[in-house]
This record gives sequence, C-alpha cells and structure tokens, in this order.
Amino acid sequence: MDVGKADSFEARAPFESDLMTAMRQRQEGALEALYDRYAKLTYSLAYRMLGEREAAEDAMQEIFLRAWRSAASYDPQRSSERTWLMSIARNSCIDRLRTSSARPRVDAAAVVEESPGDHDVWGEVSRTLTAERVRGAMGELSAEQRETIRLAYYGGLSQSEIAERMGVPLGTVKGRIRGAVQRLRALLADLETDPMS
Amino acid sequence: MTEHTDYELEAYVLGALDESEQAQVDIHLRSCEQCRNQVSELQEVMSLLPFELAAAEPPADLRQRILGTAVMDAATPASVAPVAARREPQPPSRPSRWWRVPRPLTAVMVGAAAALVLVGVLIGRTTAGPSVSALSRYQQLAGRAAASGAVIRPFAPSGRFRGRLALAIRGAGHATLLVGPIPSPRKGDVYQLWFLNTLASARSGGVFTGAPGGAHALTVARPAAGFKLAAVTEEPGPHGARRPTSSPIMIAGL
Repeated sequence: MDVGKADSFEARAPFESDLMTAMRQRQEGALEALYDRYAKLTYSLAYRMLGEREAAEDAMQEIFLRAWRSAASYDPQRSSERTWLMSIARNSCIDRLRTSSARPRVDAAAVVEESPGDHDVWGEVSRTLTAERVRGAMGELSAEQRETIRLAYYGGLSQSEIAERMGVPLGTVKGRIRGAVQRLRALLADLETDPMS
Repeated sequence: MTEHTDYELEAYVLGALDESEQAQVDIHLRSCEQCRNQVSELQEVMSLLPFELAAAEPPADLRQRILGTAVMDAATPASVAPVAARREPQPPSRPSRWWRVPRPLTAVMVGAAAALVLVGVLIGRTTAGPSVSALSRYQQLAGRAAASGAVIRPFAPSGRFRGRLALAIRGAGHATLLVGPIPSPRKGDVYQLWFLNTLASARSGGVFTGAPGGAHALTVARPAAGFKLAAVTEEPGPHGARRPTSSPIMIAGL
C-alpha cells in the first residue's frame, strides 16, 4: 500500500537493519540469511493460507524471489523487514487464492506439525516466546473477533465477504475488526520493533 | 470534513476494505502523517499474527531451490516495483530475458553445444496429452536409473512441470536427464539444460523439446562434475542459447 515517501531528514530510519541493507545491495549471503531467519514463519503462513504443501512450496519460491528482486524498494521508514516480508507473503498467497481453486484454510485451528530440531537455539527460544505472546493475545479476543480476523488475514476476504460468510451485518464485521486490531495493538505493541522475534 | 477516525485503518492494514475504500484511504495517507504512522504501527502488530501458527518446517531442499534460482536471477536488475502494494503487476506470460543473445545463434554457440554429446532416446510418444502410461514410463526410467546405482536429483519445478523431470547422475562421467510428459515449449523455442555455479559459468547440457505424451531419457557426457546446480530454461530454438536468457523453469542442486 502506498503511504507516500517519508521525510528524508531522519538520521536513521526506524526499521533500518543490516540484513535489509545487505538485501538492498544484493550482497552475497543476504537472501540466505533472510531465508534462514524467516523461512519457518513464511512457510507456516503460506501453508495456512493455501492449505496444501505443494502450493505453499511454490509460494515460498515466489515470495523469496520477489523479496530478492524488489529489496531495493524496501523502505525502512515504513516497515520492519518482518512486516515487509509478511506483506509480500500474504499478497502472493492471496493472489494464488484468487487465481486458483485452492480454498483458504480459515476454519481450522493452527495447522501444521511442529518441526524437528532447529540449530538456531536462541532464535527458536525467541520465536517460542513471541508465539506464546501472540497466542495469548489472540486468546483475549472473543471467538467472533478471532474468526473475523483470521478470515481477513489468512483468507484474504474483505469485510463484505466476511459479513456474507458469517451471516452477520457488515457493521458487525467492521466493529469486530476495529475492536480486535486495537486490542491486539494494546497487547502486542511492545513486540513490534523486535524484527524477528 | 472527514475525521481521521472515519478511515477504517484497522481494516485497511488487513486488506479487508473494498477497492474503492482502499483507494480512498491510500489518497488520505499521502497527505496525513498521523494516519501513516498509525498504519505503520498497526501493520507491525498484524505481521506478528503468523506466530500463532504451529511452526512448520519447509522441505530441506526448498532452501537450495530458492537460493539456486536467485543465482540464476543474479544478473536481473533489482526491481523497483513496490512490492508492498496489494496488487502487483502480473508477470509477463513469457519469462523475461535477462541475458540477450543475438538470433540466430553463432557457430561458436553451436560448436559449444556440440562439444557435449547429447543422445536423445525416445521412449514413448502419443499424440494425446500426458497420460498415465507416460507418467508410469517416466517413473520406470527413474526407478531403473536408481537401481543401477545412479544418484537421482529431482528438479524443483513449479506448477505444471512438477514431478516431470529428474537428473540421474552416475559418477562424474555422465548424467541422464529423465523427461516425463511435459508441455511443449513455445513455438520456435526449445528447453535447454544447464549446469552452473554462477550464471556466467553456465554450461549447456543440450536442448530438448519435451515429450507431451511420452518420456525421454537424454544422456549428457561430462556434464556435472564441479557444478552445483542444474537448471532448465526455455530458449530460442533450434539450438538453444549460449547462456541462460530466461528464468529457470526447473532447478536442481547437484
């Protein structure tokens, strides 16, 4: 989404990171590092959205290549590397959902099996803690708010489509989304700036 | 006058607004720093959502496939497309050329290709599309190659090419490309096999036109030693190109 160019007099962009600097410069090893840091998160998202392993694998290739090809346009004023990559991932998966017969997996609880051992122990610890916080925050929402948010985020549905799907007035969906997002913001705001984990 | 609170920024960051509403917010954001900052903050929060999912491990070979494709892509100029935009331009129907070579091919290219011995063995062909028997034939070929002690490297194709190509390598002496029933290349084009470490070091392993209803085995002499990747691209026929000029259709780590 285009939010315009941020002011250029900032000494350092709020989301500047060495990894994204390396990506923008197409340094050797940068894509590898990005993949190693975000592959699980991205794959989990793609699998959840597309519901099939093959489709998720195809999406992964597209997502990381899009990231590689378009890193030069990443704006550290606007978003963290995680938000930037998740945006590419969601857009890619939503495009696939719209152009194929694949159905979003929006009705199931979390989806896929835990992975076997991970060599990045600290990364895994950090990820686990973040996951606990996010699951806890989602648990604070009402069941209707959770379902609404998941239909939008993982299913790529608009508010109107959600209203139709859930059989409730559009205004109800709008209220649920506004309330849920603001609640999540209040509960998770302190996690925002941690780029990975 | 419209108040900031009238813009549904929460739905906006989820991409849940209808198109006209989304466009309206886009316009507002261009001139409103306050809302831009709010959108940025909400996006950061929403990008945490995938952490609620149980962590799934991508297949081990996916990393190499992606990195290998990026190697093939190394000569592509960095795109300036705004990737965060919800609707990105559709890719062209034909893979973009990133290394143009003049047509027709020069004698040098033909000579380089001829230095590699390429033997095509037609195993089966029908006039119809991919069939069960053709797939079965392909699987038989792969099974036979594996039984003879060859290492089988499945290519990593996407979509319609999935599971239809594999490279059997026995020793450093030769490799056999097993071609299942795949769509024909575009008119005038051929598929071309490459061995490479970097784009500049790519060596042709020969060309083929696919086997829509059958299966081929293409044996390539002295191909794979010292190379990390094998790839297939679509190139101008009949002899292929001197260097890869289009994005890989399939790629395999060696």
